[in-house]
Amino acid sequence: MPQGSRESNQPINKILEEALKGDRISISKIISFLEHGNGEEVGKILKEIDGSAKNSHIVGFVGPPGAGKSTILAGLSEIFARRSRVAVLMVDPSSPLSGGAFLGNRIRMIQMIKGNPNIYIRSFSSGFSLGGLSLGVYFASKLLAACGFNTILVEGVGAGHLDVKPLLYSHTRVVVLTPASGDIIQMIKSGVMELGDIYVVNKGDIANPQYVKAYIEEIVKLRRSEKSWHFPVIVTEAINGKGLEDLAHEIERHRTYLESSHELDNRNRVMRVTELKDVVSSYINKIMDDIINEGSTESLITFMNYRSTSIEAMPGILYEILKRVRS
Amino acid sequence: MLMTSSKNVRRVKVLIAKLGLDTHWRGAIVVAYMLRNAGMDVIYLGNAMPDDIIEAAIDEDPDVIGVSSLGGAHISLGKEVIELAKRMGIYESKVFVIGGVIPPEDEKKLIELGYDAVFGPGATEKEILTVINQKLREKGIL
Amino acid sequence: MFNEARSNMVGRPEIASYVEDLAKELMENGVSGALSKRLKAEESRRVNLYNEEALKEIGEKISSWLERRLSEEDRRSFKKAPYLLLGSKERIPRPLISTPLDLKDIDYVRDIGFPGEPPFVRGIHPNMYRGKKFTIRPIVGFGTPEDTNKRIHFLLRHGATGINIVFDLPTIQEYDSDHPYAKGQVGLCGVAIDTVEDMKALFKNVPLNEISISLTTHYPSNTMILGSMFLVAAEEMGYKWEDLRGTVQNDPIMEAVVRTSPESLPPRAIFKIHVDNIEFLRSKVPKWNYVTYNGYNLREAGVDEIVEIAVAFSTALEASLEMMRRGHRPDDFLDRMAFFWGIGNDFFLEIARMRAARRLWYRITRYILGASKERSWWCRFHVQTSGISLTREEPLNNIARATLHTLAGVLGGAQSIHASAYDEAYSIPTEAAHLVSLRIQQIIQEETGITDVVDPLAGSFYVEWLTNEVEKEVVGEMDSIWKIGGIINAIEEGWLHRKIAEFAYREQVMLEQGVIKVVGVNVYKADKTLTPPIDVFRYPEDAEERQRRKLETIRSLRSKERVENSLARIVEAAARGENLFPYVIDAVRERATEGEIFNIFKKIYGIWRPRISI
Repeated sequence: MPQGSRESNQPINKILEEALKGDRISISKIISFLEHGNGEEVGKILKEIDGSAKNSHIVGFVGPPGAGKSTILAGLSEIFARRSRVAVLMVDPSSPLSGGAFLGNRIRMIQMIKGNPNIYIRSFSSGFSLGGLSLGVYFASKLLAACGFNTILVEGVGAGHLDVKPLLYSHTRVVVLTPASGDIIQMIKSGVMELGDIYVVNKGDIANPQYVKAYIEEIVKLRRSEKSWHFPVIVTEAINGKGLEDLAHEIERHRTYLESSHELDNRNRVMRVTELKDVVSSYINKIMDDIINEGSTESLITFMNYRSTSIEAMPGILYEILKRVRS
Repeated sequence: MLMTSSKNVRRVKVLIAKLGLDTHWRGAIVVAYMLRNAGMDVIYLGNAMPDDIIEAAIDEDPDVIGVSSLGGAHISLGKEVIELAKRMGIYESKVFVIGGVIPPEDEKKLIELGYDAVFGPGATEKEILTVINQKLREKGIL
Repeated sequence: MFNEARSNMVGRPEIASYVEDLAKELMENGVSGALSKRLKAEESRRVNLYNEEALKEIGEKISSWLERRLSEEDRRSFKKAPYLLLGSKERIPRPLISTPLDLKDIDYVRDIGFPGEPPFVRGIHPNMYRGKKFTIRPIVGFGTPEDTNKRIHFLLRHGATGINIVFDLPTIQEYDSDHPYAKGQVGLCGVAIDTVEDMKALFKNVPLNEISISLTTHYPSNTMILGSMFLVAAEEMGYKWEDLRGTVQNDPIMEAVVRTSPESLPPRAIFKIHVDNIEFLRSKVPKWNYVTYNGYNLREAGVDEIVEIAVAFSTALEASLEMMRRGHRPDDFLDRMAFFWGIGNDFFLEIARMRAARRLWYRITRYILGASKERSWWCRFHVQTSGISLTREEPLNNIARATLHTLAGVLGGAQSIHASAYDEAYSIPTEAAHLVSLRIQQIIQEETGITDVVDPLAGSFYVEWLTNEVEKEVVGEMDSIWKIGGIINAIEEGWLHRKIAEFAYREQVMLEQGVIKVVGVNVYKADKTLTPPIDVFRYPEDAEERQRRKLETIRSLRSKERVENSLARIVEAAARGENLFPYVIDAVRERATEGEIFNIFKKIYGIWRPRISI
C-alpha cells in the first residue's frame, strides 16, 4: 500500500506534480479529472502529459465476452510487473437506457494480483462516445505513461465492432478467441481480425484449439508475406497460466519490431489522428446536444418543422456551433 | 432529485464490496443494479477484506464506497475500512455507507465510527438513492 | 478401491461411449425428449380415470356456470398469477376453480399410484409418517466446538432425533481461525473447525452410532476436508465408518454459484471433487447420504421453485453420468442421493412440487439412467422453511409463517423438516426460539392427526393439476440447461448468476411497489411500539482467541514433515487423475489444518471468478 497523502482541496497542478512523481492516489485523482473534469482542467493536464504515450507500450486486447481476457490480463500483468510498472485499464459498456454501467472486470482479476505495487488497475465505462471506448481511457494511458508506467494493457468492451477503437488507441493489438468457432466468425465480421498483431486462442483446456488456430493462420498468411512481422497465433490456458509467458514474450517482440521498423511512427500517427477526431467530434456533439435541448436556433427550428433538409440546415448549425466555441 | 442519465451531468462512481467471508451476494447485487439503473458506474468487488477495499478505492477513486455485511462482522471489520481510509487520506472526499443484517443498536455506533449512512435490510431503492445523493451533495462531491 | 474402478472402466469402453451418447442426446433433445422417447411404451396402455360422459357433462355445465355466475371481471382474470416472495409468479397462473376437466387424461395408476411404488407421487414409503415420523433435525453451531457440544447435549435431551451442524464462515470458506481473512468472524453464525481435534471436541460423548449427524458442509471442497475430519475423529473415538449415519451436503452449485468468496476453485474442479466425494463415501461410509443437493440456498439467493428443482436435478443427473463414466452402475450409488428443498409461501405449489419432484426423479433415474432397484428411484429430501420470508418487523408473525411452511412440508411428504426460528432476521436462534421451532413440528405430528393419512391431498383437482404443471415447467427448465451444455457449462458461462441477479432485482422492485405483499412490512404496518423487543443471541466473543491458541498447540505438537508429505501426495494424486479423498484423510490424520488443505486445492486447480454482468 502506498504512503498516505494529506487530504485537502489541492489545486490541480499540485496533484499532477505528485502524480508525475508516482503517488498512486494523485494518479487516480488525475485520471478522474480526465474522465469528467471540465475542458479547462483537462486541457491543463494534457499540456503536461501530451506526447508521453510514445514512450510506453500500449497493448489493446479485444475479443468476445467469455474469451478469458480478464484472466489473461491478470496473468500478463503479473509477468510484466516483475520488471516494471504496468497498468491495466478495463472497459465495460454503459447502459444505453440509464447511462450507468456495471464494471465487473476488477473482481475477476484482483485475487491473482492484488497487493502488487507495480500493478495499477482501473475500471472504466464506455460512455456514449463513438467506438465504445471513451476518450478518458486514452488520456489515462497518456497520464500513466507520463507517470512511469512502461506497459499499459487495455481491455476493450468485447462487442465486436465496438472493439475497433481500443485497437486504434494501441501500439500492439491482441485478438483473443476461444475454440468456439462462432467467435471467430463474429470477429471477422467486425473487421477486428484484420487489425490484430497477435492472436490468442484461449481455453485450450476446454476444447481443441487447433481448428481455430489453423483458421487464423490461413487468414494471416497474406499479411505475413507482406510484412516482416510474423503475426503469431498462441494457444493459452489462462486459468492455469499456460502460454502466458509466450504471449508476454511475443508482445515484447512486437514492441521491438515496431521500434526497428517505421511501424511505430505509423501507429503513433494513427493514435494521434484518432484522438483529434474524437476530441473534436465529442466536443461538437456536446454542443449539438445543448443546441437541440435549447431548441432556439433558427436552422434547427426550420429543420424540425420539415421546412429544410438536414443538408440545408447544416451550415447554419455549424455556424451556431462555431459561435459557441468562440465565446 | 434522483440521478438521471443526462450526458452532461457527471457520472457517479460507486465501489460495492462484501465485507469479509460472508457468502450472501443477492443484496449487494440488487443494490448494484439499482445504482446502475440510476445512471451510476458500479464496481462490484465481491468479497473483500478492508485492505482490499481501500486498495481498490485508491486505484478506482470512487465517489461512494458501499459495504455489505451479513456475517456479523460489521463493527470489527467495518471499523477498519474507515480507519484505513482515513490513514490513506481518502476519507474526506468520499461517501461511506454500510448495509445488511445490522442489529438496530449497532447502527448508531457505525455512524459514530464514520459511516455517512447505515441501511437496514428493508431499505428501498428510493431511500438508498435519495440518501446517497444527499450525502454526495453534503460532502461537496456533487 | 477407486483405482480398480478406473481400470474397470478402461476394460469397459462401451460404458464410456454409452454415457457420451446419452449426454449428447440430452443436449440435443433435452430431458423432455429423452423421457418422451423412453416412456412411449407406458403411454400406450393408459386407462382414463374420469369417464367420457361425465367429463362432457361437466364441460357443458362449466361453460354455463362461467356465463351465468361469474362477473366479466372474474371471467377475464379466471387465471391469476400469484405474486409471492421467491415465487414462480407468471409461470403458472392459477384458476379460480379446478375441476376434473383439468385432469381429463389422468390415469390414477400410472400418474398418481400408491405410496412406496412408482411413480412415487404419494410418497416414497407405503405408510409414510405412520411408519417413520419425519426427523426433527435442528441446526446447531456457534463459537468453539466446546461451546457447541453443550448445545448439542441440550437438544438431544429435549427430543431431537438428529443433529445438523453449521459451521462458521471461515470454516465454510476454508480458512483457519487464525488466517487474516477469518478476523472478526470466528464462531459467529456457526462453529469453528480447524483440525480433527476440533471435530473430536465437537462430538464429545455424543453416541455417533445412534444419532444421525448432518454436516452442513455446503461445498464439495470443504466436504472432502471436514468429512475427512469427521471420519478420522469418529474412528479415533472408536466408531466404525460402516455404523455412522448422517449426511454431508457436497453441493457443487453451492460452491460455484450461491457462495461468493475471496477465492473459489473453477467449476470443473469443484465438480470433480464432488464426484470424488460421492465415489469414496458411497463405498466407505455406506449409511451416509453423500450429497444433499441444496435447492434451498439457491432459492434463497434468488430463483423460483421451478429453477430450484431443475438445477438440483440437472446437477444430480450430470454427477450420475460422471459416476457411470468412472465405471459405477446407477444402482450402486443412487440409493444414497438426497435433496434439500426450501419451502416458501406458495402453499399448494410447494406441496405439488414435492410430489412432482418425486415423480420426475423416478422417471429420470429409471428411464434415463437405467436404474433398476426401487431405492435408486426415490427422491428423498429434507426441507427447511424459507428464512428469507421471515421478517424483522413483528418477529412473532414468523411463527405463523413457519407453521404454514412446515404444514406444506408435511402435506408434501418430506423425510425431515427444519422449521426456521422466528428470530431468523436477527441472528442465529436463541434457545427459546429454537424450542418453538421444535414444538411446531411436534404439534403437527402429535395433535392434528394429519400424519395418520398418507398424501391426503391426492385427488384434489387443484393439487393434481398443479403437480402436472410443475413437472412440465421443471422439465422445460432442465431442457434449457442441457441446451447450454449442462449445468457446469451454464455456470461457467454465467447463465445461473445472471438468472439470480435478475430475479433478485425484479423481486426487490415488486416488493417496493407493493406487488409482493408482506404483512407488517408493506401492508398492515403496525405502530412500532406494538412489536415486542426480542432477545437477540449474542455470540461468544473470545472464540477467535481460543481457536488461535489451539492451533498454535497443534502446530507445535504435530510432525511438520509428515504433514508436508501428506499434502504433497494430494498434489501427486491429482496429477494422476485419482480420487483425492483418501489422500485428504491421510493429511487430516497428520493434523493438517483445513486452510492448509484448501491451499493445496487452490494450488492444483487455480482460482476462478464468476462472470457477473447485469
